Amino acid sequence: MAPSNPMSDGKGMHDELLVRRSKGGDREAFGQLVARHQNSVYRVVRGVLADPAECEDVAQEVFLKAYGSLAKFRGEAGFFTWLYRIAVNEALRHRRRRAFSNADALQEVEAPPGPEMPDEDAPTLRTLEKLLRKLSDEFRAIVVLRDIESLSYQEIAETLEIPLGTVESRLFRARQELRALWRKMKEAKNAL
Amino acid sequence: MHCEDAARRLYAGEPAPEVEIHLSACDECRLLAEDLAGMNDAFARARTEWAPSPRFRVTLPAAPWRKLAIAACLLVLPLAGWAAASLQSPRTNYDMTAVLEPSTPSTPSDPQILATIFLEESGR
Repeated sequence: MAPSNPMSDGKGMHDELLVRRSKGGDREAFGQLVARHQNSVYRVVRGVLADPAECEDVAQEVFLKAYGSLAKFRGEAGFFTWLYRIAVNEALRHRRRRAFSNADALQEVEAPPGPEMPDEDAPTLRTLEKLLRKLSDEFRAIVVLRDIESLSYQEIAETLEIPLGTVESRLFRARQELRALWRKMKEAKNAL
Repeated sequence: MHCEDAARRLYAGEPAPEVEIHLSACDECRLLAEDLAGMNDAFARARTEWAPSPRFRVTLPAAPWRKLAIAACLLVLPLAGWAAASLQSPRTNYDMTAVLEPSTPSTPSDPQILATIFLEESGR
């Protein structure tokens, strides 16, 4: 369902070098790591938040957190899986905090089908965001990592710190639910 | 192939010739395959279109030695300024003549005069 991840094909070696230099206080090396991963981190954050607002701020927080805890990174997993873990956790934390403090966010999730429902055969990006928003946190994270970021099952297991079998079953259920939501959305539109 | 097996393979993204054969005969599974393909297209668009703005920057916090240098500057600069100001400002000119000149004897006050007269009178 997803193409192979470009970070899995040997570019991790370059990350290792940059991480080592960053740990030694080379800020320029960390800047290169940011440049290499900023798009991926942004996409993960956007996918998990399912909202374009505040994504850049949260992506910035992800990199600052990574920079601050670089000493704790021991290199057992790839740098980008470690970075993705921070990105997923930060985005989820931000989402929960926002949902807790903002009643509108909850209302949005429970909004009934209306005239803004899709009039398309395949989901647009905007519709995809709406669908993702209706998934649970754990389903959304796994769909984003696999279907948008194209991580392998092993990399997803490392990122989310769950067994490989759980990755497979959770992804299956997440896609089932996503498809069911899409069907429901289309049928609601057709009924209008 | 049963619908259940076909659906499992479709959700897992495992295309196979037997799934294709099944799809050609099963409307329900074909609809599922079309929906999943449509969602895959949306994911592909997200991969290319979801990107931070060109002005996205990560501003790293200042290094500890830089913080120390800034703190030192903040401490030293006012002291240096105060020292420079105190060197350049003119000294206060004290009126030395007022200190050195002997004070002129003052004229006796009325109570003193009265006391003198009283003593003289009582001495007689």
